[in-house]
Amino acid sequence: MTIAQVLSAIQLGLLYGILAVGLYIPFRILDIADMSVQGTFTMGMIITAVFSYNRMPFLGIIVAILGGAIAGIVTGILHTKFNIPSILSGILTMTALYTVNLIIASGKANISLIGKDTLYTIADKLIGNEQATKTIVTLLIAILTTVMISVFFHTRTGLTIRATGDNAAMVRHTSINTDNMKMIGLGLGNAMSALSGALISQYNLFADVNSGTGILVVALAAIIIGETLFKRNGVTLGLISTIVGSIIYRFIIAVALKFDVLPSYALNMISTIIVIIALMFPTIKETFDRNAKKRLHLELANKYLNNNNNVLTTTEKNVSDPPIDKKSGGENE
Amino acid sequence: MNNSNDLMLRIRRMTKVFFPGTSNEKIALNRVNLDLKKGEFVTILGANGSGKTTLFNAICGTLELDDGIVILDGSDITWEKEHKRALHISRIYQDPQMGTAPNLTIAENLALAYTRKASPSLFPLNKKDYRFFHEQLEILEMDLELRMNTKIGLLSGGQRQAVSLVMEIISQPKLLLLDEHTAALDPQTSEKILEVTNKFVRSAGVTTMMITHNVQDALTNGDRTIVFSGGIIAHDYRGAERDALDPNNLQKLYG
Repeated sequence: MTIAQVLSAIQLGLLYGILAVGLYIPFRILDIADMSVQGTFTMGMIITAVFSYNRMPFLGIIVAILGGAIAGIVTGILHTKFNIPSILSGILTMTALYTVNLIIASGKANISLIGKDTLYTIADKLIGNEQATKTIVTLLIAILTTVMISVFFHTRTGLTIRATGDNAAMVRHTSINTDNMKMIGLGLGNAMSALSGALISQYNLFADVNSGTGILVVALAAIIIGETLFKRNGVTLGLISTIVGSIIYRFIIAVALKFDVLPSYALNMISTIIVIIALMFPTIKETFDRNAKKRLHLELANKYLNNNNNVLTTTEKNVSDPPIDKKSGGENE
Repeated sequence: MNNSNDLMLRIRRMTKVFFPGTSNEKIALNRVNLDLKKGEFVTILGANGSGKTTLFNAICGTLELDDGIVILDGSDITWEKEHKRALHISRIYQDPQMGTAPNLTIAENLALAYTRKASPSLFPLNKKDYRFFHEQLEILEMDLELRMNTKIGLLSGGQRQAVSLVMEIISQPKLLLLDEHTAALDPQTSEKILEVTNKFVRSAGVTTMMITHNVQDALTNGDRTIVFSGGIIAHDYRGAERDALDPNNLQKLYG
């Protein structure tokens, strides 16, 4: 891999990492599989593209974030106030957003930003190196958002949102409205997803209403890879591992495409296979561990069975271990 | 004789019928009247299906009543939403899993319970609150104050129930409902939790109702015992009459 390819994988990993964080909030913290993330990602792209086209690249990103938050809250209202199952609420919002996106783009399927000012072209004038600009700007935004979200989830509201995903009944008994907490979480997640779309449209200088297709699996892959490598441990580590997972995913894709294993249009299939393997990993590992243990025990059992009783008792004496020290225990479950 | 200002809870004509008009019709609560004085600790006995848990559900707002009114500390809460009432009513369930969030730490769970009463601050785990939680956990004498950053899910059932108890007490409720909260625990732990319950209830002076199936526990804890049967309050013992009761005789009333 050339340096340019490595940098490109890191940049894309960070950009899609923000999207993965957007999915992580509803999916892992609230325990809601939110499909609207796909719609808000595209909406972020389109809104920013329209604003950038009209020479307002920064305002475009801010409006995209707000738009994403509103769409997320709509999903939340459908789910909590009207008791529509969360997965269906997400699908409804996502489908409606397709039309909304076309309306924002004035009916055009795609918008090109070539020759227009974006966050990256403006920063490039200061830094002077295109690759360096793209890496630094993306890295800064990724770090900033991760820190902000992490801090937010340690505030009172953030703690309540985490508890809502963990034990909603208990939160209600604390006299807190869990509906509002779910809406805040969904709004925040979709705002992040829209931010990711917004940055990617300025990065690629291009936005398309169909860009969201398959994007959920990409975000899911980042979350799962992160969890497979770093375990599920707290919000802050969860967010960081998701972004690292997203970068690793980009490297896997880059390698897969480099060796021409599959044509470039097979990206969605590659993503799906990565997610499946990552999801199967714990089960496979467990089976291997169990088989290894079983072999060891079979060997011992055979040794006993092949010898006479006398030997069996003496070996048993040698084999028997002292009882496990109880003092170190104390955690029952 | 009873000044209404001394009463924390007043229940009048509380009625709940399940599956009305069908062959499965069951009158769970049949025009129940009940008054609880401020700071009173009442134990509740009764066979399964006699209406004890329905009473708790109706007080908490989990169930809507068919008839009757519930007055808590002078205000009518009959039609108030569940999460609104929860501000004043705390409840601990038999299942230790229900009262705590397993993926949050002990400190975070306590902070959550304390949210409504804590002085406003952006971050829940500030030094002042943390010290307060530490003091409260010390009262348990279960060394849980040394493990405040442990996830609740890693604790045993008894430890979780103890933390639930602290959570409910620091939320300073007007009414504490204990729904067989020691039934899932082993005898020693159960005894320990009951001891701590008494300690907390007495020091906080909170009005408490405790459902139990253990007649001995019902008579040795609290200062009044109610026996439910078929949706009505069949017996209401207090004072000297209660002290004179023989657990074995009461056991017969159960049937």
